Amino acid sequence: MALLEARDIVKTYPGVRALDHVDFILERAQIHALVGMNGAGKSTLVKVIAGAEKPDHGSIFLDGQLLHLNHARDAAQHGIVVVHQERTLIRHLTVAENILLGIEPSQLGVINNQLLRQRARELLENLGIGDLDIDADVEKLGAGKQQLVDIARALRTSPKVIVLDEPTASLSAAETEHLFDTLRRFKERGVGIIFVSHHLDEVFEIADHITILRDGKVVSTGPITAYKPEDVPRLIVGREIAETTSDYVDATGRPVLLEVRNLCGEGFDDISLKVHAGEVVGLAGVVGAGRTELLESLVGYRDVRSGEILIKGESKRIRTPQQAIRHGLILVPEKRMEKGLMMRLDVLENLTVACLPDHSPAGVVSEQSLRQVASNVVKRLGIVTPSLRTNVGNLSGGNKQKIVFGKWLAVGEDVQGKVFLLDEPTEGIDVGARAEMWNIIRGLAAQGAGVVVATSDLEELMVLADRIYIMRAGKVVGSGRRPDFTQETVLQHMLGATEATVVQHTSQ
Amino acid sequence: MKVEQAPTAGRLKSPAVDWEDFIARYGTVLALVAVFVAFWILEGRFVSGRNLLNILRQVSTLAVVAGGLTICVAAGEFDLSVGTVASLAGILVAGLMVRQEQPFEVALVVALLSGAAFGTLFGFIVTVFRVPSLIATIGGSSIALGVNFAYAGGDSIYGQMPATFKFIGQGFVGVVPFAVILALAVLLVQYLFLNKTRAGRYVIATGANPKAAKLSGINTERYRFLGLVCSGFFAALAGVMLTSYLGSAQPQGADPYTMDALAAVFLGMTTIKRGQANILGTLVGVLTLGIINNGLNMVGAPFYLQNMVRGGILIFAVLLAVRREEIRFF
Repeated sequence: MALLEARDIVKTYPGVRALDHVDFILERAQIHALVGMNGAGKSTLVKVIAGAEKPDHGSIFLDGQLLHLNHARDAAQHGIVVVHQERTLIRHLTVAENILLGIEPSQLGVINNQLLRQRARELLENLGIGDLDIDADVEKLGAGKQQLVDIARALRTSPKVIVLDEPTASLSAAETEHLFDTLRRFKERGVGIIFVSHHLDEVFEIADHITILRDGKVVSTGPITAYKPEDVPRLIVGREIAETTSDYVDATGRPVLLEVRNLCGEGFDDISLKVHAGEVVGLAGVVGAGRTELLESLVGYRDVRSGEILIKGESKRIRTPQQAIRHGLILVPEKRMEKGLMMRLDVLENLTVACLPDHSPAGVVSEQSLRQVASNVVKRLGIVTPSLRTNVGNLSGGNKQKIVFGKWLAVGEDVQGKVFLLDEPTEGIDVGARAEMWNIIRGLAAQGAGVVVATSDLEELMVLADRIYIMRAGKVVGSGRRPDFTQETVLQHMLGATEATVVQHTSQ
Repeated sequence: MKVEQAPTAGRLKSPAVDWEDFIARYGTVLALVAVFVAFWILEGRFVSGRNLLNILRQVSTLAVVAGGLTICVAAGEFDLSVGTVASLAGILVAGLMVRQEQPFEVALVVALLSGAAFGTLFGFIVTVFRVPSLIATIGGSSIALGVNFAYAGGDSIYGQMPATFKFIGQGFVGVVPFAVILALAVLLVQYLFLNKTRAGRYVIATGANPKAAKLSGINTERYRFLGLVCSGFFAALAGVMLTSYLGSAQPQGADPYTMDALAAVFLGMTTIKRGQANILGTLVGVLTLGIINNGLNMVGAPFYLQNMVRGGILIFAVLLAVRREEIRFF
């Protein structure tokens, strides 16, 4: 009898089947890796197992017993603990206080500090991280140590099943080893561990068993020894997508619009890259690779620590998006609802927010001229909206994305010489709208703009990019012309399944 | 992967009135009408030309403060100091004329500048040192009160004031009080600023989503700053109007405006342009408060009921807006 069994799980969100009749079996004393692209269904499966999402169909069994999970609490009561990606520590408390939060030993409501510290120390020693200072303020610990405290708290009860969602994202190599030792120790006690990761090197180091999800289905599962690291990426990506190498543009001879030299900042380190007029540069990487941080730093939305940014060959200091825009450097941010749109304002107001200076002589806005500009953009991008006065919140994802992007076309039809930094430009929009966005993006490059597309969608990367930079853990780990890459090789770099750092240098 | 809902945008709406939308948008206006009619039924004298003009005169000062506060809230900031800043300006204008024997123009300019100065101070503290405006203006409110007492010693200021000055609050143009005309003119200016100027649009964009506004190239700090300066300046103008109307300055005479103006702005956010602080909405809010105050007086309700009702309105307006997700706190 398996320790945990998820049988025939179906979960549908509006417009997408996240889990399509998934079976998943976790044995005792097993470390079971769950891998797949963003959107493959990993997080949904984890949420179902943890009781955070109710499946539309299917059941979960623990020790052969059917579980009724209505809430994350229910799973916890059955000994299923989840360590999430996000930190859940209380900033001003010590390590010991955080670990035993909510179950502090106390008499008459007064916490017995001595006992608290003793228990925390025992727990940490048990986990093999006894060298962590239990009296330290968690705030003063590094990200990696904080993560270990978080994990220790999750493991303070004696769990039967541990689910780790991307646990190593902020850990150093040594800390990762610590964590792995701890996991092995739990495994020896018969605990089952589900290990969700983008990092195949780690998967192959720690896991006994692997399940690969794609488009909500299990495409492959078996003991890790039955797989070769270089085969897994292909299984993750699945369908062979026509890798059109014929129509890529070699713009490396054209003027360099943007050059970045040894740029360092929060989340990325020593990044150098070039963007030429007329090309689309793909920036690949998994979530957390540092792409967003890099792009937002380029336009002055975040701080740059060191390094140099050159625009058309001239070194520039860019401290605010306003300055970046003046230099023709434009960011279309990820998470459009959070960073791109003014949700309560209408289509007209959103589309014209960046071009007001051109349409407000003496500071007074010309409603008519704004209307003209906005309706031009609506027509040019094929934005579907009942009127210019419709709240953007009422539009579909694809149309919202077109508006975030369209405000820059409202600034000027002529895009030549501008650099567009697009962060996940087709995130969460439907297939038709995605293809339209791709046409628009290629169109920009064709008109002489330089375009950077940061994406974790490999198909998008392959369709759009003329050259590719691959980021992993804040560094560029590979770069080259698109024809030099296959989806598989890109994925190997993204996931760290290969040791090689730079596949090909472009002719620079 | 979460795909957003299929587009409903292309769907054609039936040409008939969308009642649900109408009620959501104009519910607050309907409530204003209902309150009006209720007082009319309870007390016939309520709807006389004289009383209606009286209501307008009573709300004119509040309208000026609330209009300024609207700009501040539209920029995404709060100003909880408008009442005490108005009181300070009211004391200053009287004191400068009566005690320092300054001409009316000098007193007026200094009083108005005191409001703008407080706004500037808050703008600086909020945008440069990143202190939340809620905190900066509560603290600043106490400072304004302190300055007030330091200047006037906590006493009321009576005395001979020039006729030009008294005209602001007591004068009539035909049958219409000058204060009403002044308030309407101020609201018009505020309306035009927010809706027709580039700076006003930037204020609204900043308040609607500071991240998106910043990434769109807007100097968001500048417009948050401006919002706080506006609320301070117009609070001072209201303080001057109040002193002129009373013919004397009370040390804390304008303090209740903080709560009343907030209530008016929040009520306004539930109507016309929902979820946004907007001048027309604020006008609806101001009129609602004015009618309730006046109506309760007319029907002989005890004075303390007014306080309770006004407090209740503030809470209810915010409750309504939060429930409909028009406003979000924290």
